Amino acid sequence: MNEEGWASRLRQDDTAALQEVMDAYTAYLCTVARNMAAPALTAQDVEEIVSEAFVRLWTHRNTLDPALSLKGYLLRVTKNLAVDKLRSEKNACLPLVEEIVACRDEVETALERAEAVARLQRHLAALPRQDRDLLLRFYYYHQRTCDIAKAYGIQHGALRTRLSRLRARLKKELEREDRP
Amino acid sequence: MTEKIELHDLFAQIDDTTQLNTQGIREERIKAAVLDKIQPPQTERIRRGRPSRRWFAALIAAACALVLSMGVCALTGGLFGVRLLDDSQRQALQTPRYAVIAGSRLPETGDDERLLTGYSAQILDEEYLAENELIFFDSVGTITGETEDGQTAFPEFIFENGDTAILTQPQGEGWQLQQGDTITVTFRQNIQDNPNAFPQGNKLSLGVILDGIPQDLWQGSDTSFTFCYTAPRAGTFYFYLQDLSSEPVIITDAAVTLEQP
Repeated sequence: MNEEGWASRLRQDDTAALQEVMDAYTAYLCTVARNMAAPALTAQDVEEIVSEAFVRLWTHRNTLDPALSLKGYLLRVTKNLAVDKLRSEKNACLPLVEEIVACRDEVETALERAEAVARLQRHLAALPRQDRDLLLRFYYYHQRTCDIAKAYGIQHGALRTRLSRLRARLKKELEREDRP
Repeated sequence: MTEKIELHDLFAQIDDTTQLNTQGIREERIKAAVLDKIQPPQTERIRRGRPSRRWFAALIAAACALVLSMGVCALTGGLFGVRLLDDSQRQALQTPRYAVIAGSRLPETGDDERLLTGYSAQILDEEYLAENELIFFDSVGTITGETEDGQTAFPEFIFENGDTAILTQPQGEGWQLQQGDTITVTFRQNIQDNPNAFPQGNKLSLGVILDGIPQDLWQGSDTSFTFCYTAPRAGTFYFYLQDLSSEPVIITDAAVTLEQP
């Protein structure tokens, strides 16, 4: 996988590069879209959303910054399209839209992006398996907390408390200054 | 110097396959649909052989938009979300619209954050909006047109996700209709000048406002659309467009025409 190479080839109208990007990320984007908005979105909705995300990547291929992540771009587009789809259903899906929109979590750090990712990976590797799994389900796969609680067979409140503690530790790790 | 990082974006930079779930989803169908959509249509291929005419048309369109924008800006007042398409807006459209690390937090929702610009505060019933929690009317602006022979033509304008643009006559007036009167609303999406546009058009909503109460009439992503509306009763009517897509949309050739009885 070489994101910079893909971005460069996309700018040269190389559809083979787009196919490679689709091979790499289709399953992930489908999983995220489904996790965010099931059961409001059907499998067909998810297919349409993810295909639109790739079409937009192609449409904007000449303005893509190779220093930024194609995966992050596709993820953000997929999430926005899922929210648009839910909003178009109007009142029936508005609580879910609000839940998704509210589900943003920022840390303030002096780290470079690559260093932040490396530190995140080290932090995850050092966690007990179930804690790592919980963070991945929530932040990487965008599973909703009620679904994670069901998967673990625990109360929703207990899951949120546990997630909150893990998030606090992660933030502390990412906001920590490097000592010389 | 510190920077804000959205944790979901940060996690997207790692790779994990333990929880992938594509059951019921046909990945090959997605890929086929993408490849089908990105093929340029036949007419586009023909146009590519004649660049000089295309550039000439684009220059003419840009000049017309600029002149119209300058003329109507004074009437429209300071718009925030909904705004006329000028050079600075065109330039802004060329900027890549994504940044993976620096989180672009969505505006918090709240009644005190509703933004009604232009004539919209006089047109919409704010109490109704607040009571019914209509989230699509948090950012509203007006676009004024010029009326001649029963047709009001509007300058090219741009708006973003969730923005509402109310179409008005030159002094912010609506259309006085009697029961049974017919009025036609037409518009096009300018996807040529908008690098963020979907090839098949971005999703929009068209609606009508009667006595301050908005009501949806149509939703879709047609790049060119005409809607005929028959007044259910006498009153003052306004029409609005909403950007339901995630990207900015440029509306061009918008017009409201009162059909003669």
